[in-house]
Amino acid sequence: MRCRVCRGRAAIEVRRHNAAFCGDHFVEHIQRQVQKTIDDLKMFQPTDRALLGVSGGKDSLALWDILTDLGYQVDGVNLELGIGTYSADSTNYSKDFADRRGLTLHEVDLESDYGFTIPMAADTSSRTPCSACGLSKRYVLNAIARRRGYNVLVMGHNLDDEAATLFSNVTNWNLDYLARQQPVLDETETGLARKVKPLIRVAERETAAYAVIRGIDYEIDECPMASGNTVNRIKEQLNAIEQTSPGMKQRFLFGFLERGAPVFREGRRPELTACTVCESPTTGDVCAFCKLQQRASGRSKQAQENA
Amino acid sequence: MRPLLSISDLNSHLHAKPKSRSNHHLGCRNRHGSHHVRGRNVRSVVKILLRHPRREQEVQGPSTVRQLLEKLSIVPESVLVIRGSELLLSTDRLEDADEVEIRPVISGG
Repeated sequence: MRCRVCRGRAAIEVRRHNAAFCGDHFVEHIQRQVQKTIDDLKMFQPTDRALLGVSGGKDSLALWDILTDLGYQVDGVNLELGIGTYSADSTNYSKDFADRRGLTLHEVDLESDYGFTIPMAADTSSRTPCSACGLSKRYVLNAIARRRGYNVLVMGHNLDDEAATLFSNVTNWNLDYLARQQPVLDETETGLARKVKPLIRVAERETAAYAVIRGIDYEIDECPMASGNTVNRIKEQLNAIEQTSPGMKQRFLFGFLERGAPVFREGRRPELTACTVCESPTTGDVCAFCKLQQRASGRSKQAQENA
Repeated sequence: MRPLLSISDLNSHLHAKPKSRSNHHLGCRNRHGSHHVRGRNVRSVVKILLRHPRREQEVQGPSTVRQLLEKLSIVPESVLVIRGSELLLSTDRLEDADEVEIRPVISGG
């Protein structure tokens, strides 16, 4: 199999584009896909102050590499989740990446900064570990972006992440979630930073291949609390369909974003008010993160601040 | 759609008793990955590193990456196959005593 560009030996086949690439031209291809996404969806400019959520996994580290190569000034933020050696290792991959490239990485420790860990949250709430983790990441990353003056929060969700989330939301006909599933969420007056997902044109296998080709060390092991979770099982099934119908995941997601999402958004703009504990935007009196924190840590954030 | 075998289910699959070789063709590296050594039919052996959990196994017979993944019932879209630091294509041949990593690409978060 030959590279579509230079006819040299191919390193990876991208069946949904009916193409194969050598390592160098695959890197170019992926960077072009990300640039196209940023430009088409007007995500951000090189002059913006961008903050990337960095987990130490392939997606966020590959995206950091891509964005800095494309000339964007992007700082990172890593959230230590307290999931044993898995979290410690993931944080180390993030720090090593930033150190080697001279990039700025903000470090937040869920336990020391917010009084609980993801295992504690999973033990004390009705949420699954992945749900508690996702909620915590959304809350903390937004808080750091606002506090440190970043005007755009960049996330490493890839095509497979978004397609699997969409499949889950459709399966459950969760209309509120379907209305909110967008690659660009504008800043709100109520305190949500602008959030963008530049990897939505890049499949999960491609971000992993990009990391290998670029020599990026990342956390390969699976989170011990995420084993067998619903989204991962959906990804396996979508990949099985993709194997016989290349491009299915992309058609599913982009068809939704272009033609389905506007329908779901129609008339669904929830009124947000300030959380009575932390003043973050919420649809109720107390936001979901503060409720989780109160249960997991046994003390409210207010109590911490008063202490 | 063919039934799926998750990465974590592979252990039991790999420990299963090898199938009979009675239907395999003889010859110098035929399509089943066999080759002749002094008149004997010897099956090639590929050492593979699997993850989630991390473990090593030896698999007999596959001559290409595609055949290896088919043998293990792994969906190619869900993994990378790596030899050293080199990504392998589904059509790449596996040689005797090759050591390859089958790295899952699916992650949560």
